[in-house]
Amino acid sequence: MKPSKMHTILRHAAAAAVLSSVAFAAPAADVAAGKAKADTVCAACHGKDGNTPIDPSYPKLAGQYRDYLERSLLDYKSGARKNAIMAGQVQPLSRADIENLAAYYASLPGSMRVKR
Amino acid sequence: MTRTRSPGPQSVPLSASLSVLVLASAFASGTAFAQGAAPVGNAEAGQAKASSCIGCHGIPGYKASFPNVYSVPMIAGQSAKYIESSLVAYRKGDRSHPTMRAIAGSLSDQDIADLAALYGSK
Repeated sequence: MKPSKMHTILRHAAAAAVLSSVAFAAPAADVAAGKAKADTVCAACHGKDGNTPIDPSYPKLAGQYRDYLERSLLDYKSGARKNAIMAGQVQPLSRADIENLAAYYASLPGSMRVKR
Repeated sequence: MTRTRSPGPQSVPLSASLSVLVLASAFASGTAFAQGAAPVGNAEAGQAKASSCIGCHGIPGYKASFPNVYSVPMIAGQSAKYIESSLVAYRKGDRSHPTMRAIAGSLSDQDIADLAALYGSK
């Protein structure tokens, strides 16, 4: 194989690698948009700081894993998780809203930890 | 034995029968209420029951792999009442995660209260 041909193949491979890493990277979530949505939709029950729910049966969200929060909201929306209150709350949320909310709450300082 | 000397049920005055019924139903509902009362959790007892939990929830950043890949939640420090309601929801089938449904399905109300006391905050 001629060096120039090899060079072209390598360039294409490099381009493909870059493209696929973009395609598979987590979509950039907007933490500020998440906060704005959280303050209007979630804070009334889960607390302004996401760590002081108004009822002991409601979860703390602050500092929880982002992908878990996202999965929870998606499951409430699909019905894989059934809860009368949350079903109504997530219904108007878009996929982007859910990603932003998960990123926002995961970014907050919380009191949860992993206990071995 | 003759009917005249040993009164049958028919001879009991109606008001007395009603009183007995009322008392019985009051007692029954009292019993039901006692059974419905939440068991008190004990963190030490919870520790002995946590072996099913620590394999996933005790590993920082551990990810569940089925049916979706995502981090298992941090549960230590979570609201105790929420931990209870989550486990009850898995046991009842209101939450679909297969592993958690299997584990919660093996837990009694007392087990759940003990685990909530172990992991949860008041």
